[in-house]
Amino acid sequence: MTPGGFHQPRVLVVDDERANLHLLSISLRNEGYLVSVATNGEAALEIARTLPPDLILLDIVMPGMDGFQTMARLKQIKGSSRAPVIFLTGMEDLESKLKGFALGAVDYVTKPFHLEEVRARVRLHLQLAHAQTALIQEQSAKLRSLASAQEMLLLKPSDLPQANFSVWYESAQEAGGDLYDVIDLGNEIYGFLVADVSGHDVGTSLVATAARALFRQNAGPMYSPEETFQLANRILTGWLPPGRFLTACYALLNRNTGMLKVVGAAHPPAAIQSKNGDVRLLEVEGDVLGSFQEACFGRLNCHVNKGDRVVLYTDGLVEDIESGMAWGSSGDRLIDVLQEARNVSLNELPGHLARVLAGDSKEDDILVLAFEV
Amino acid sequence: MDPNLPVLNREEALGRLEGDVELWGEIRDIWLEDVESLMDGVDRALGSKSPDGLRRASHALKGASANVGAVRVAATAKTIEINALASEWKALTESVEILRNEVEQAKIQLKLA
Repeated sequence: MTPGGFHQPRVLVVDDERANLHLLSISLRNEGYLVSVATNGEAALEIARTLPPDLILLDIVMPGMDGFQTMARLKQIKGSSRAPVIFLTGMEDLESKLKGFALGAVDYVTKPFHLEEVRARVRLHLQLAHAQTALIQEQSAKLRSLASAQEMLLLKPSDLPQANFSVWYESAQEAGGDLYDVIDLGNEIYGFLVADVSGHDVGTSLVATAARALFRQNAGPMYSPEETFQLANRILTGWLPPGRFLTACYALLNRNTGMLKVVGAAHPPAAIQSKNGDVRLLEVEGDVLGSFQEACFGRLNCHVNKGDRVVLYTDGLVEDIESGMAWGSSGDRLIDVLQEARNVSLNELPGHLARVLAGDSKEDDILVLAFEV
Repeated sequence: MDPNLPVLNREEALGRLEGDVELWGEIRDIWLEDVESLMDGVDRALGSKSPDGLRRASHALKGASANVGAVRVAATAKTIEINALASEWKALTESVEILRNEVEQAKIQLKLA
């Protein structure tokens, strides 16, 4: 931070070649950046721990730890994990460029590099990172005001008939912590969300209201489903009180292609009831939302056919209160019930599952959302 | 390698540095200071018949030389880098000999530039 309160961006340059370090550090310093330099991966990690960079220029081929290994380790360092990484690579090295992108690099610069080009890319990616941070802060502020509204406006199937869904929601207490949403993303693409906020009090209900708005804000074609969860997680982590978290399952259906993408955050698996009566569970691993910044969310892609039905639900549907088992054999029971419910209409299906599986239990909220392809 | 490549293409290197002659002079000095050590790395890898070592050492020499505009050294080092994992040691030894000659030529021209 400058004396005037301006945050002077810091660039970490990692390259084993002395001339490259010299060129880049002089060129970037002349532009007003703070520059740290490291000649190998280990030194880069050490510097990143003490002087967290806003952006990293990283050579791939280095003695010892290479650029890919270094990047993976840098992503684990608090303060550096979100710094955009630009790889320095040979012009002909397509494989390295692709691997760099797969690991989370935002861009690359080919060597020998033009200083003007390097500066332009550094500027661009710092601007993008800054914009994303500002967006997250803005969304956090919006969420705080949303939560005070104390009202959850739940979408009814009749509000969005083209989504072809039905839902059953029964709150165990006055203030429920389960939430769902159905989002029309255009071009016959729909997002279906079911989530469960920990706790059973009025605060839980407010969190559910705000979280629903948050997922909606971060859904859309510019984000993959797991990125939607990652963005929501970053905001929730800074916003939720300690001990509060969400589990969630988000299914993105493209009716044109029949592609179903399912992302999970420590949530019971979605179930697919195919038109021919077969039932299977879509187990997707993932961390809870809202507990820590660098949470991971798995994704599963599968093809579905017209007439197939997908069921998302919260654990109130399947948990066995007496045994304390939230999942396990109850998954088999769900499969059995779904197999027998092939002829139950879509409108009736969620209520049918709730009655058969949960019975009169009022120990937890029960939410079941079903949609047909 | 293109036989018409010059030993030194200072103008191209300067173009990448936005015409900053002083900055080019600084990396020229770095190259002159480092080139023996970089070449030693190539020789060591060749002597120990380490394909990966030869690939890495020639990669380092290629990068340093391309920066300063020593384009024949960069091109020869690049050929060795590409062939290091697949070629016979006899052919690689000949390539390293060519590389050494190119380095000597580049040293002469860079000292004069």
